[in-house]
Amino acid sequence: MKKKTLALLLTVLFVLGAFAGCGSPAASTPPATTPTAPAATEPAASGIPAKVAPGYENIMRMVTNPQPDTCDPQQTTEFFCVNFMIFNRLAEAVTTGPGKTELIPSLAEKWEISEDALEYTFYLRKDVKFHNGNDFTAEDVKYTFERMLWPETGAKNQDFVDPIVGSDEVMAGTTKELSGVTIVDDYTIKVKLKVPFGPFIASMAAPAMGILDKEATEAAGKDFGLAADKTIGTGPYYFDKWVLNDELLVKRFDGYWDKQPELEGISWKIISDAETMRMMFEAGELDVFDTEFALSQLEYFTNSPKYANNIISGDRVGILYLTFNQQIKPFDDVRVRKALQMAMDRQGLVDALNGGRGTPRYGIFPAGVMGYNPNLPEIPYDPEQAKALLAEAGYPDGFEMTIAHDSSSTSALPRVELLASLLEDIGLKVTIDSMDSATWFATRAEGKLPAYTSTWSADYNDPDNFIYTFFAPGNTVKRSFNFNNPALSQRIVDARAIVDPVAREKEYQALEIAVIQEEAAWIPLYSVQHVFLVNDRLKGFKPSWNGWSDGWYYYDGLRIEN
Amino acid sequence: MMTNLAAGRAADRIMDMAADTAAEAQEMLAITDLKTHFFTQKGVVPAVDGVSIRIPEKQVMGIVGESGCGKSVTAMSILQLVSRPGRIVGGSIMLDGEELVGKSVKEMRNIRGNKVSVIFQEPMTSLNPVYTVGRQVSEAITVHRQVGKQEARQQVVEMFKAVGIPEAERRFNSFPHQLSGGLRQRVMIAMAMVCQPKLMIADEPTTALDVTIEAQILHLMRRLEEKSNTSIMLITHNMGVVAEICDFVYVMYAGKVMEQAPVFELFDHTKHPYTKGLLNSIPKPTEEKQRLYNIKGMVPNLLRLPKGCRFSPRCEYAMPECREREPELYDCGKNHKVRCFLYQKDQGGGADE
Amino acid sequence: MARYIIKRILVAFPVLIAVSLILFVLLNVVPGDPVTVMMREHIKPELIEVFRERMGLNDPILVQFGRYMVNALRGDFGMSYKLQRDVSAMIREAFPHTIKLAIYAALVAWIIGIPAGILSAVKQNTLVDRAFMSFSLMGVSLPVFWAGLLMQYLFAFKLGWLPVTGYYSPRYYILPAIVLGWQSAGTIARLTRSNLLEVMKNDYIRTARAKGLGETVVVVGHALKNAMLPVVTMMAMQVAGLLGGAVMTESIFGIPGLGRITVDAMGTRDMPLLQGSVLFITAIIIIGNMVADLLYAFLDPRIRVE
Repeated sequence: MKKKTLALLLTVLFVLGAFAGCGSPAASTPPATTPTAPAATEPAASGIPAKVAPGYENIMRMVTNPQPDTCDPQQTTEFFCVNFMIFNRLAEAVTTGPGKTELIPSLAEKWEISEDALEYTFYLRKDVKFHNGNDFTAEDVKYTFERMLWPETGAKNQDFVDPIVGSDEVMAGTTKELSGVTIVDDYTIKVKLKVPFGPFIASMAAPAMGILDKEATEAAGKDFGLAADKTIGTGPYYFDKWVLNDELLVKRFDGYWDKQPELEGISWKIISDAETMRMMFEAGELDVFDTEFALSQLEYFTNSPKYANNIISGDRVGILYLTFNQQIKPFDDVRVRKALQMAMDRQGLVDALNGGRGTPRYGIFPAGVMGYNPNLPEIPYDPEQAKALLAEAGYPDGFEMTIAHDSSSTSALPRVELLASLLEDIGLKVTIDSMDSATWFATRAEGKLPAYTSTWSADYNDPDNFIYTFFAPGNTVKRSFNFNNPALSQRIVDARAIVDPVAREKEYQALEIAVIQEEAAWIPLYSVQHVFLVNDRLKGFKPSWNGWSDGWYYYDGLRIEN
Repeated sequence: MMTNLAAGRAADRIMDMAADTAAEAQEMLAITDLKTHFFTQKGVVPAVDGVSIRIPEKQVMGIVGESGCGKSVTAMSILQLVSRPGRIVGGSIMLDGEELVGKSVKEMRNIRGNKVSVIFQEPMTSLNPVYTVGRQVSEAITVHRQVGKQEARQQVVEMFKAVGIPEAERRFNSFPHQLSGGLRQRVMIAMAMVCQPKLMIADEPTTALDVTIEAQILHLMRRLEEKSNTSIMLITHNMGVVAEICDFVYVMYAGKVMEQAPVFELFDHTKHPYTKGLLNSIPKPTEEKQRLYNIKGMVPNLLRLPKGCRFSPRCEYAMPECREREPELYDCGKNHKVRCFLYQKDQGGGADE
Repeated sequence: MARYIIKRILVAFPVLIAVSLILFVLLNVVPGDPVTVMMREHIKPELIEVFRERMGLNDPILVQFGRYMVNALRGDFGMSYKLQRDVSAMIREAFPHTIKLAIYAALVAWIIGIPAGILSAVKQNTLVDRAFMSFSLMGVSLPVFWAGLLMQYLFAFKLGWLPVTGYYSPRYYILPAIVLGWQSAGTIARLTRSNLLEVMKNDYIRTARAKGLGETVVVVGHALKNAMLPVVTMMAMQVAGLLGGAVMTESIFGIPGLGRITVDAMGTRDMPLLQGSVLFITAIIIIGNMVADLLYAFLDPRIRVE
């Protein structure tokens, strides 16, 4: 009898298994679900079931991947999901429209900049408490700046504090005190810069510059950023828990100095598999499906009429580009570089790779970042002209080149293949070299990647964040550009000191033309729209101003209606 | 046509005779015209092809023949343990007046080990290596008798003593690999005898043992047979073993009985050329260095039996008639029957002397 | 027995050190370094050297290895480069999830695999046999991630019977355990079947039948124990297999176990974390082998009595 029951069970499993084999998960047909009646005022709902685990009724459920290495804002360069929400900065960059931002006062109520643009006076908010109940004072700001520079911190974002007088000495370990920072009183602090630095205020709004509680941070020691209860900030949410490889959770801070958020919290699940992520979203286990973590699923969603009302997209203040290493012949020849720029069918790439959700670019500053030049001359898509330039440079039959590819980035491979075919159209022979992530980054840091394609988006709203990153003397080697025009590189360094916004914008636009269009030192491709899918129960979701996945998800109207 | 008629007549006579003998002595086992065939992809193999065997109560009956002659299949047919694709297709097996052919699986289970038990050739492989010998023998009791564990154990230990296992108590907990070949075979015999069966089949019980142990085991069997009511069917290819303990002998060849006689009659008045061949292959201690006699040729492929007498291709005395039709079992008197045309004239009784 | 165990443990040490050394050398031979992959897109040229120096990556390999081994012997497995946590603590945190998954999977494998193997053997060459064997062949040959996604799609997503991801109650483990256990179930079923068929040919099975035992008693009581001996040995090998399969299963079903840690550590050249988890896994495999050997000795009297 028992045997028979087991046999039956197994047979059922077997049949189900065979049945499952017919409908593979990658099938493009949208899964059939029973449509729910649309609400009176809302557009037709997708019918995503709202499957909410107990305790998550009013928590926005998102995904992050890979897992942050730490939630200490000073020690991470890329993973800010939690930092954004649990810390405040002196100023916040808020989204004012798609791809538009504005700096608003935050922990600093207001600030003054001296005539010579070297001295910044921040007037701090008086009624602010940290999550542990401590008062926020000027001491905490000074501590935050200094801790960033102390060698024992092991911070990775010193460059934000680097412009302040005395930073080199602190970094070298000769002193603990940052001489350029003066506490005037508990709520006033003066900061002196070495040279004028235009984007200083904007950079203070970058997530790396979250203000820490001196007492709590010192007490936490090595646990800061790792242990949720020891990672203290002033933000609208406090760090509730971090289960390694599973979930990060922040919850509403009742003592927040500003308006209380409507959400009870935000949860980030750590999911690495794109299919799993999609199923979770469709099963109602996620409120936000971020296509950035699963580009392979973008087409599925954008092609599915069922989800038409669940798509929310924002322009990414960023740019996709193709580089080549100027140390490798014949990329040292400007004619060759120009030929490559002309080989790019930008609109074709946008259509093929992002379903038309993007804008071709011809410079380095994307729309949304200060200094963006809407009147920049277009680089034409002209394979014939490109071939002529190659012939002129002595390569009538083209040459061989290699594009290196980080194999962990599955979304990059189709792009690399398409770029290779465009380059082959002008007579080049392209080899694609797939490397694992660690190899790719290491080779690039040695300045030895031959060519690659990647993307950059704004950390803060300033053109310096783009051009300096790629073409400043050290950076250009570490990113395997090997840009070799010392005069222009110097101009890029000097431009940081321009404070007057009009003069700044003018110089950066001139630099863009000189470096990108005349020197043809990189190949701009396009900017994308960052597509999110949002569960029916989540209302008022806005992508962050720069189109990042991590952002300042604290604004009016963001709420859950179960 | 002719053959069928002849076979029919022979069968009739056997039945008559069975009736006669039954009157004198109780027959423990009566196999009549047993046919066990194997249905292979190449064709039907008549491994046992109309065999009739009688075993009176308290007798040791030997079946001899070369390997592949159907001895073991006959024995397994009694227990209905013939492995697939073989099955009994005809005949009757009466055990103490009870028909076994056609019994259900469950009924047969009650026969096996209880009324009919078996000892196999390889005492090493015939015992399960992962259980103690005591447990394995106890099992034979508990499966058939409503006895407790302790009582079963007691019976087993007594049985061990009866079959001459030293330190029986201790050996109860031994594993097969810890025992010598002879002891293992004693365990097998203990297992076979523990339920006091009516019939014990011993399938080459001493083939794997050396000569001294062989003698001990044979004596043990003989003694047990004398002490109990058990009849023994001893299967062997060794005429020496037959001479040692059997009362009556059947000689089988290619699925048929070729000769049957009381043991002294058979040895003294060997008739069938095949039996003569088997006897000649016994090493004789008096004649040192003599080459062992071998019957020339091989046991025929049962799928392609020769026409006429099955033994004719290997027979020194084969006559043209032998290749034409199959001889019947001719009764030569003195309970002696031979399937050979050479003795056709003797049939109907009469002394050979 | 105790001597045997001590001997095995002593032998394990050189194995662990060798594994460690090989891993050390391999990681130094393959391109890629933990600092640049840690900084990723936001690379700061001026910081690379600072970090290399701080992490001791500029020392000769043997010095690094020696330092690692000395600390490891003291029980200090260092800090993860990327996650900046104590490696031992991370493993301690992750391992229960993996072992839980592995145990559930093993249960599935045994509960399904052994009866399936027995039934297939008993009903050899029938429809039941063929169904079980093709089912187990599927288990053996389907990549775990594929089977995982398939089941997740069908049972969690399409039918909604079970959660898509998570690990909060035994219910969450049903799918991952089946996915991971299926493969082992397939192997066990096939091995059980072939062993049982082999064992059933033995003389002692004939003896058992001749005793008058029923077929079930013959199979379960007499054949199975013998047939299971090689299966027990295989169990040890399956420890490695299960831990390996757990990597994919954990990723698909969002279980924060050892597998994910190890894969992430490989991808980021996180030497201390990778070393720690590989050493730990090696130790588990060694223990698994030892347990299997002891179990074998326990089950097989021919080995037990020396």
